[in-house]
Amino acid sequence: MRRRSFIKNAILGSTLSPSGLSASLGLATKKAQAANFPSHQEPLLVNITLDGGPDFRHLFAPPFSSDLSTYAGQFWYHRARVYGLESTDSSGLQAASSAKYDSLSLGNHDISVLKSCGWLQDKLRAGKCAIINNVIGSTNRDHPHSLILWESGALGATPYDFDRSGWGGRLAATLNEGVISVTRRTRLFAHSPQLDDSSQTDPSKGKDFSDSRNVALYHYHPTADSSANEWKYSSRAILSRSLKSYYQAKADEMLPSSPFYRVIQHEQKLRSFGDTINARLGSIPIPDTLAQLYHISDDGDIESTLSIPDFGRQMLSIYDGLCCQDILAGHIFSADLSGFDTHKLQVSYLEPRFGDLFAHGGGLDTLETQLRADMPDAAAQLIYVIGGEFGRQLAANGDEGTDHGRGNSVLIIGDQVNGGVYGEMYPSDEIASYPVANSDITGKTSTTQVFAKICEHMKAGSAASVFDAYDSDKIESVGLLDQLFTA
Amino acid sequence: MWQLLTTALGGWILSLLSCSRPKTNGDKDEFSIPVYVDRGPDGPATNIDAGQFDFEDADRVNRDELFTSIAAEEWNETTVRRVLHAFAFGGFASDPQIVAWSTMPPEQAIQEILSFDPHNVLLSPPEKRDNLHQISGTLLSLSDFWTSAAADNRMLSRFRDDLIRTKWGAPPFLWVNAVGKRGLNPVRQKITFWETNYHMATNQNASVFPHPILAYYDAVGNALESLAPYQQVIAEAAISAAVAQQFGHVRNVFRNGQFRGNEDFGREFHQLYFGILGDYNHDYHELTTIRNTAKALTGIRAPWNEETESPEPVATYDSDLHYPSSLEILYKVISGSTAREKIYALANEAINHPESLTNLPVKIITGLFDDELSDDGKWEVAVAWAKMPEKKLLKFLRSYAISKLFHSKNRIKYRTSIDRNMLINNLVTLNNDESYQHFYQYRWLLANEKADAFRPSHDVFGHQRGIEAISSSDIFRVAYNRSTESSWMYARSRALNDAEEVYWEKDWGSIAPRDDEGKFRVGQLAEWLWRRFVADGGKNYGPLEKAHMYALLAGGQDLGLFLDEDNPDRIYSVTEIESDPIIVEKLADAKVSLVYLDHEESDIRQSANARVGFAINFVIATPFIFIEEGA
Repeated sequence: MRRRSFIKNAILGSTLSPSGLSASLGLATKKAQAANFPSHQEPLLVNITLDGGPDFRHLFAPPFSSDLSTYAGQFWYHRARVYGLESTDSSGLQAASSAKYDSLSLGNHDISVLKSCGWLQDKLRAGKCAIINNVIGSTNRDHPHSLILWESGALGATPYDFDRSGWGGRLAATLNEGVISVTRRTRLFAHSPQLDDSSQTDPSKGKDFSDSRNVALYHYHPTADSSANEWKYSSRAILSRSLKSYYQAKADEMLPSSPFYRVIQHEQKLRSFGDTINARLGSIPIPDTLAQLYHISDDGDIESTLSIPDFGRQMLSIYDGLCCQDILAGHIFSADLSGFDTHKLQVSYLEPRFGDLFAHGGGLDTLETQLRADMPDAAAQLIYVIGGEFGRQLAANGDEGTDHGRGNSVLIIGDQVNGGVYGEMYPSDEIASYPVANSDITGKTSTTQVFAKICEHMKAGSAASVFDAYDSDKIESVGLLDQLFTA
Repeated sequence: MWQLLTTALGGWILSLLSCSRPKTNGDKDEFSIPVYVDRGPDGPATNIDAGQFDFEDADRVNRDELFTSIAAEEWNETTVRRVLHAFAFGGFASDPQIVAWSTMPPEQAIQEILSFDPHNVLLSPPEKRDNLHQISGTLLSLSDFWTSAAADNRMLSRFRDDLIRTKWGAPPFLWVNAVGKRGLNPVRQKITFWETNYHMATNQNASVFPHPILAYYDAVGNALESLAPYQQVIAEAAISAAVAQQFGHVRNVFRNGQFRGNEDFGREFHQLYFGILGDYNHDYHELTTIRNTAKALTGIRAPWNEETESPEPVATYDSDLHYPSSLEILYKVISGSTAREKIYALANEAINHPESLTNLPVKIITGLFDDELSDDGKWEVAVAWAKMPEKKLLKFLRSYAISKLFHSKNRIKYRTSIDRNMLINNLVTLNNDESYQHFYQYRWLLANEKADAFRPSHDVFGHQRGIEAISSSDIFRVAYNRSTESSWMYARSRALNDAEEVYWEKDWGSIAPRDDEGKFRVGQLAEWLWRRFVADGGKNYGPLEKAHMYALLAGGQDLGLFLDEDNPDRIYSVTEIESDPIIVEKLADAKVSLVYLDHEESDIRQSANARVGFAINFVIATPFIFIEEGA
């Protein structure tokens, strides 16, 4: 068995915490010096967009029943194909339920949660995970358009309107800062509000932090070269001086309204913080726990204990971002995980991704464990917002998957969250809908209502400037989200 | 107007008519656009009217051409280069050829520049030493040739294994090779790439195997080359093995009176491929169009082949596993005994659906050429598309390429990593020898910017968008560091073999302009390089750019070192450059100084070529390489 596979199996098959696992594998945990870490005394947000329309009903199934007059009975009957079973195979379904799910009681709600999502179960039991149900941001089932609606929080956004602000960017602007993006491509969530006004350029303070250990522009270091005249003749020295000089002069000359000014801004941002970041992170080794999530071997291979290594990279970037939060001057992180458009073979595609997120030893567990060790104040301030552009249909399709729906759940996790179920977990009116083709979760609470509460948590009074007239958007019951966060 | 067209689609019929004059006659001042009359899901299946659509603002519409062309006097060397940059990754046309095109009427020149043929001898002159112009130009045929023992196969042996059609690295490597070779038509590669990596993307990261992906790319390229109506190009894509594997409808079957499968492509066929989002009637779209399209896709087979350890690259269409009856889709009766027949029939309807007529052409133009297309521009694009009774992509693109809309100062295209890197590669590579040697490592460059071909970052929703590239400081960092930390790559002017013998020398002198005395001078060379790589007619080639390029070309030095060796880190402003007499004089001297690109002494010649490489490193790290402007 290859080492990578061994590690993966060891982590996902165990209930050990990442730090415990390091010890069990004989890996020395490189504990960074506390003095290197900044203080975190204000709320921090990590938004994780799950591309494709995540099926949270698969994550939180109702405890098994074969009674078709109940929600659970309808669920298991009409979802049988997802598990590769026939609807009439009650005993098989019950066995699948037992094998895959653990039962949990959350207040008055009995739910079952995928066994593989141990960290999430811990959070639910600890009352630090809120499941907000029946949330809707898009009334269509079109991925790109629905993603625009999800990430912009602008319910009137039109299809193909990719170049507009995100709600994260607008929230960051109220904090006089930008979003720290750890995704490979800057998501719309992080776009600054200036994008909505074509007469302005984008003075966003957002940071592309996707390659956190390599953020600086190259410049020539005379002391690093052995040849005395290297600074004169080396192409590196010549070009790095030339371009540094050019950009500095060009920034004074070019009008900010020029479309090319965006490039000038990149140079300025990277120039201003790149070296400082490198210096800070140079003194903080990558923790072994996070290195297990994402590591490039000497021969260039990416090694990871996750099914999607890029999510591990993002966890490291968030960790690094918190190590440098005083330099980056941002409180909002943008992350993502793709592959949730599970029309086919849902179990094999979806469950590993939920594992990447929520397993013991998965991405969030590992990050949290490391933060509690190194930056406990950051761990205490962080909230995770997790959701996707729409939900999926109630019943399985004929390809062991589920097709596009509309309404869905949103998860909010963190020490400052009052966990539990918000909105009806398994709406009784869905019981009759299961046999009806194309039925999906009825949206009862607008995304804007949820996001507005998060904005208020991040900065009191900010929601009104992030969302237009969100108060009048739909909500399942008055005051539903008023106690979402601890005081 | 665009808002009217798009927002109207819920109750669209009234809005469409409201922006039209009443139909008067069938003269050429009007043209037809099919109009659906939404009578709801219970309405008859054939309720389509052929309406007519003319425009209240008649002055804006030229009836004789799809787009309004720029005037002949506006057509010049810069506009030709702009077309080459946008449509051909720069192309390989010689400077005299570019001048020749600029002196032709634009309508004539564009016929010569833009085609979907495998070869275009003017745009990409073949080289005598290989026979690429005699190969069909499909990626599979190139794979066969470049992995063969043919005497004229110049692919280096160490790369050949990577080009075997079943290797996972083959599709991206074959593609970048095809784009970068003289003798093959880069326009065909550019458009086919957009079709298969953006518009109708399949993804190796989604476990679509290399051989089917190559067959898919070639099928689309061949369909484009055949000049088939555009809906047939789309249909050919839709019924391919790669697409069926990507979306999973390769498992859609109708057996024992029951449909088994998923609806994924039933939706995306309309949405992604034709731009039909379902606004005409969401319930009908969900419950009838999508579900029945999923049934129309039953019986596509691409079984696993044990011998090649890959699914079959070309699908077959099993009538026994296919839904046996006609299906109602888009209010039309769609018939056919196989998926292939039904999908072709459906494509003929979808192409004329009002949502497709408004969305699809805009998707093409914004996807390929314009990230800031205005509402008026979208209207113009939709009108041009609607004017074609039969939708022909080449005709549409040719008209657009010489249009006022394309050559407008309002047009902004943020270059993707792929567009920028392939453009630079084609312009810096002087012949196929250099391309075969992979001196410029474009495969690695794309991977470094997370832009591998055939691994679209948005899966079926397409690859990296221009707006994403321009928004990413990390992509800028990679590009900037390539011009500094890795500046050797473009500055390298010779290569040695194991015996320390020179086996290759860069020879910019072979194509650079000479002055009246037959010499290469800094000022002329700098301006030529700027025109070659930026193609802006000198709009952004100001005193600062000139000063830095003169220093690099004349002295092989950065401006700071060139002007004051004791203070090389000093920043020089435009004001200083233009007004300080010492600087002005020094730069004036530099401008007329010689660059010895053809010197008889090898070291001097190579040093001069290295300086050109310095200047290229500079140009391709300026802001003006990241964005393409219309004027």
